[in-house]
Parts: sequence; C-alpha cells; structure tokens
Amino acid sequence: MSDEAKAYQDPGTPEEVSRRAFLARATIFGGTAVALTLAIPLVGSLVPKAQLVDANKGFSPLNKDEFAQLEQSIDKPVKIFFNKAVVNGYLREATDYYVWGIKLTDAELADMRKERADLFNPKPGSAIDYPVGNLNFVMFSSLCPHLNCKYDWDSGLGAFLCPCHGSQFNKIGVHMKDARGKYIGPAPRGLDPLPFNQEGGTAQVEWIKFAANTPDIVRMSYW
Amino acid sequence: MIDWVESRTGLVSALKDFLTEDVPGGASYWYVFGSATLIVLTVQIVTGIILCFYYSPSSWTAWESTQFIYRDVWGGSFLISLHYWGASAMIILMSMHLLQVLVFGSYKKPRELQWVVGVLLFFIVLSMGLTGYLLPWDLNAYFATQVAINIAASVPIIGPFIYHFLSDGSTLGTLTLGRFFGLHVWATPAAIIGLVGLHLFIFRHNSSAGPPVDEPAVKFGRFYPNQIFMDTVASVLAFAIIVVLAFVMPAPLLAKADPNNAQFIPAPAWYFYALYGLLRMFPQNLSLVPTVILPGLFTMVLLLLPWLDRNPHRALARRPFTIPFAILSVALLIGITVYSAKIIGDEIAKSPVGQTPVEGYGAPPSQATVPTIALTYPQAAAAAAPVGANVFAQNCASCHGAEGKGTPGSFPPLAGNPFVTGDPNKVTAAVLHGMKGPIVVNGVSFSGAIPMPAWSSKLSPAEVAAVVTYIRSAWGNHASAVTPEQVKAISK
Repeated sequence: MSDEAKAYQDPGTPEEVSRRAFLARATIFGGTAVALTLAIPLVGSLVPKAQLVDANKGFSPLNKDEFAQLEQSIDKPVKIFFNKAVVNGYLREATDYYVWGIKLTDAELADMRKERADLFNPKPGSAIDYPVGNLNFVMFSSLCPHLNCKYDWDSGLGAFLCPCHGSQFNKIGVHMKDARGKYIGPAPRGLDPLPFNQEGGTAQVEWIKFAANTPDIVRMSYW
Repeated sequence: MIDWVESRTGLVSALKDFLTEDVPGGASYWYVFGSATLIVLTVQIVTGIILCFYYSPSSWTAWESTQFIYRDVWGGSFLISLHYWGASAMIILMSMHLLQVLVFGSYKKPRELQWVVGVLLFFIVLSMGLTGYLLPWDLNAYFATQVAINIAASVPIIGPFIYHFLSDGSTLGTLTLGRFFGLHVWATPAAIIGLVGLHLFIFRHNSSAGPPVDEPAVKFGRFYPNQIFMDTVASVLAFAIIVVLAFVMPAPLLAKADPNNAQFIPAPAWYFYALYGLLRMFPQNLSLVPTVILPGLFTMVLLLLPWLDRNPHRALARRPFTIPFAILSVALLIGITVYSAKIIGDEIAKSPVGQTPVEGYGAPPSQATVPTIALTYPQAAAAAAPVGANVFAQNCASCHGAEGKGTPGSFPPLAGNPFVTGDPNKVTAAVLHGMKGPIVVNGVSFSGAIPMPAWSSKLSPAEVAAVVTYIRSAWGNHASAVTPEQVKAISK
C-alpha cells in the first residue's frame, strides 16, 4: 500500500485537485475550531483564582498566654502561636501558625526606625501599607525572607538564625553583617513585620505570606 | 529540516503512509463513526485530566471537590459537562460504528480479530461509564453504584470476589471511591489506549473493508483529504453537539451521598436502562437471567460473531439471517430502553426526594462561593463554618430544597412558612419528633405521603438548635434563634 496506493497514482482533473485542496483546508479549519474550543476552558481552568487567595485575608487573635509572656519579656523575642481558619481549595481548615513577637523599648524602636527606614516610610504601592511598631510591638513573620525556611532565636548568638542557609538577623530584624562588613547568609532583606493591633483587649495579627528572595516586600497570599 | 527529522525518526514517511491509505469504493460518510469516537475519546481524556487536577477521591472530599469544580474553577462547569456529555457521545458513536461494521459485514475474514478488539473496547468503555458514575459521590452516584456492585456480586462463583475487589470491604466508602478512581483514570484508560492502538494497527494491516459487496473494489478513494474531511465533518458535528449540551444542560450534581436516605430513587446512566428494564421484567427467582445470563449471552454473541456467522458473503441481500437478527436486537434494545426510561421517570415523579440538583441543569442559581468542609480543630471549625447550614444541607435539603422551597405536592417549603417562623417550641418539636399527615402551607396542600422523620436520635441538641436557628433566619425568614438548652427541654 502506502506510497503505491492506487488512488494516489491518479492526479485527477484540475477541478479535482482544487477540490482536494479545499477539503484539506476545511479539515484543518475544523480541527483548529475543536482544538480552540477545548483549549479556552482547559487553559482558563488552570489559572489560580484570586478570589480564593483573598478569602484568607484577615486578623487572627494571638494566643493569650504567649502574648502575656511577651508583655513581660524585655530581652528575648517570644514565639506566639495563633490559629487561623483558612480556605484551602474545597477544604476549610484550621491551621496553627506562629509569629516572632518582639517587645521594643523606645530606644529600640527609634533604632529600628533608623535602620529599617523603608518599613516606616514605605514608598507608594509598597506592601507595607500598615503601621509597624505600633504599641511598641513588632510581630515578625516566621518565614525567612530568603527561601521561607523557619528561622529560630539563637540565645548564644543573641540573634535570629536561619538553619537552611545561615542568614542571621538581629532582634529588630536587620540582616546582620560580619566583622568585614559582609552579610551573614544570603537573605535579600530583613525580617518581615506583619500587621498587628489590639482590639477589645485582644492582640491580633494578620498573616501575610511575602514573596521569597526579593529585595522588596511583595504580598503573595494570606495563608 | 523535514529530511533531517525523517532520516532520524521516519515520522514523515509514516505520516505519508498514513495519509495515502486507499479507501475502497471511495470515501463515505458511513466510515466516520470510528474516527468520531476517537476524537470524542480525546476530548474525554483531555477534560478528564483537568478534572483530575481538582477532584479528590474520598468520601470527605469527592462531592465537595466536584462542587468546587462547578463553583470555583474557571470554566469548570463547562468542562465537567463536556466530560459528562462526552461519555454519552462516546457510547452513541461507538454503537453506530459497531452497527455499521455489523451491517457492512466488515467483521468477516480477515478482520475477525479487529472485530474482537472493537467489541472488547465497547464493553470497556461501558465499564468507564460505570466507574465514572460513582465519582461525584452524590445521591445518585452512591445508590446507583450500590445497585451495580450488588449485581456484580450476584454473579455465581466470581461475584463475591468482584464485589470485594470493587468495594474494598463490605461497604461503599472511601476505599471504594479509591478503587473506582484508580480504575476510571488509570487502569481502564490505559487498556482503552492500548486496545485502540491495536485496533488501528490491525485496521491498517487489513486496510479498509469497503462497501458491503462481494466483488473486490475497482474504484478507490483517497483517505486524505477526502475521507479525513468527512471524518472531520462528523467529529466537529459531534463535538458541537456536546458543546451545546454542556452549555444548555450542564451535568447535574445532586446533594451529597447520604447512606441514610431511604427515599431517594437512583437511576442508572441511560445506556444501562436496557439492563435495568430487564431486571424489572424478570421475577426474583429468575434474577440471574437479566443480571448475568442475558448480558453474558449478548457479550458472547458479539465477541464470537465472526465465527458464529459462517456465511462468507458481505452483500446485504445474501445475509438473510444476520441482518434481520441485528435489526431485531437493536429494536429490542431500544424498546427496553424506552420502557425503562418510562418506569424510571414515573417512579421519580412519584417520589422526587433528592432529585433537585445542587449544581448543573435544574439547580437553583448558585450562591456565593462557600467552601464546604470543615476539618481539624472543632472549635475553630465551628467558628468558621455555619453549622446550621451544614446540618440543613446534609439532612434536610434533599426534601426541603437547598433554598428551603420544598418539593411541590410532597414536601412543604420552609422559606416564608409561618409555622417555621412561629412558636420556636413547635417547630423544634417537629424537627425532634417528626410530622405525619397532609398539611396546608400558605394555601398550598402537601400530601404528607412521606412523613417528616424524627431527628432526635440522629442529631445532637446542639445540631437541632443550629438547624432550627438556621431555617428561622435563612431565605428571608426573620425569627429568633433557638438554643441547645431549649432543645433539651423540649426533647424531655
């Protein structure tokens, strides 16, 4: 068969040839129409929905005991948990998160205003559209701004230390440098403060997930 | 460039071989059903892959993730409906293809094995309809599958093994869903793709059978573009019909499966109506006839047709037995299908409990996006999810409707019902202890043929309080809340 196929040995009349050309084009057109009709919903269905991301926006009350501990703590950050109801696709889950709470003296706050001026005088359009350091508290996101590992407070160093790639941050979240002036670890920015306030006597925080590994703070999601 | 690819792969000459196939007797619209089936199969695979991105097979998430596809996935309702109507289109086109081959006598020597592979494909595709039916985990999915696997269990000797394999235990549950899902998305599609490949390979080996005549063809048509054009016309037409149906009548999703619902009447997919009708025609002591013997016989006759029909002629006039027999079989199948459709329609009309879809064709306009499952910490879940709405959706909505509008003639509405918004003790007592007999609500009478069940043993006082509070404040009702303490006092 194949190349020797009988029908193909006959070129046909000129009308027949042009008819075949038309049929070939019509076939391609039909196939393309089907493919496009399918492609639009197929591709569209894969785009994440912003509405579902925003569904998780909002403040969550901090664990009372742990926050009370922070109020007494002057030298050390305190890990404070909170439980957040999140919309996870078609699941609605209650998940534990934590932040690193810092109680700042006025001197420390002044220090922070100076060293992390970008947080206190944000550029228009910045993700920091909320007051930082209000009531002399700062709540740092528990995610390292490098690649979102969980960092910990190292009492020996007197600094936050990220176990993944060794970035160090001081108590007010500044990315620390070594004796030669080089940054310790690859973090692109200091620790990220989260929106914090007190309402009706309850301390609450808004969890925001910021983009990893960018010099600027960019909002990604709320869970 | 083309030469470069050709010399390394042989793809170009393979495509040329493929396109220059001769069509004995010329291109014809009779030959389009096979390729149209293939195109719809492709649509099923592509839409099925996307559904897999969202669907989650467990009794906690199957229905919820399906509803998520309708509500929250862009184009999701359209995609799931394409898949739903595509299944029917597959079966229709495949049947047409089978009939055309049967009538043209194309199953005869040397194409016996091609026919056998085709018949296997036919039954495997039917089994896809069965496994896919359970996946949405709505009332119909649950109860219709219950029937199907119990029929499988009644097969002598191997029945119990099939039953335990399919249900993975003694009850239809999460593990059953896992098995059906695995079969529906991995095992069966793999078998289908393999057998379609084999079917086409043998087809190319034997080449087209041509028209139903006994003389070898003298005239030949071109496969490309003449036959391919006709195939395209048929495929585009089939696809267009599926698209229109998906838009106009989106696949219905009923309320979530509730194993305790004793009023819901399940219906099989229409292509199993004939089996359902047979089941109804035979008495109980002959129940193996419609469930095993007749379908088994049908399968064997189809599979062995090339050997049962020893007549070497293909011309219709010279096959006085096969053709009338085929016509009779088809007429019988259609007849029983229509008969069953009528039985099912009548029964559902009599007891429409749970038949109003939550999504898709016939569903009330959908509300705002509501994620439906609350998991993990109960206290947080209670804060996060409106419990009353959940209790209502799971227990009450199948009769009183998701919107509290009731079911005409059978179940009264709760929206705008003065009894509901009146004395909280009376309405709470009705939920706890049930209600019987005909009633009149806002001048409309309801038969009460199916009584309101007593919920005191099934729902906790907190749940009763939540659901009564919910129905007294939803859908425009504005009445006071009911506390669990009030419920406890009434239930004493």
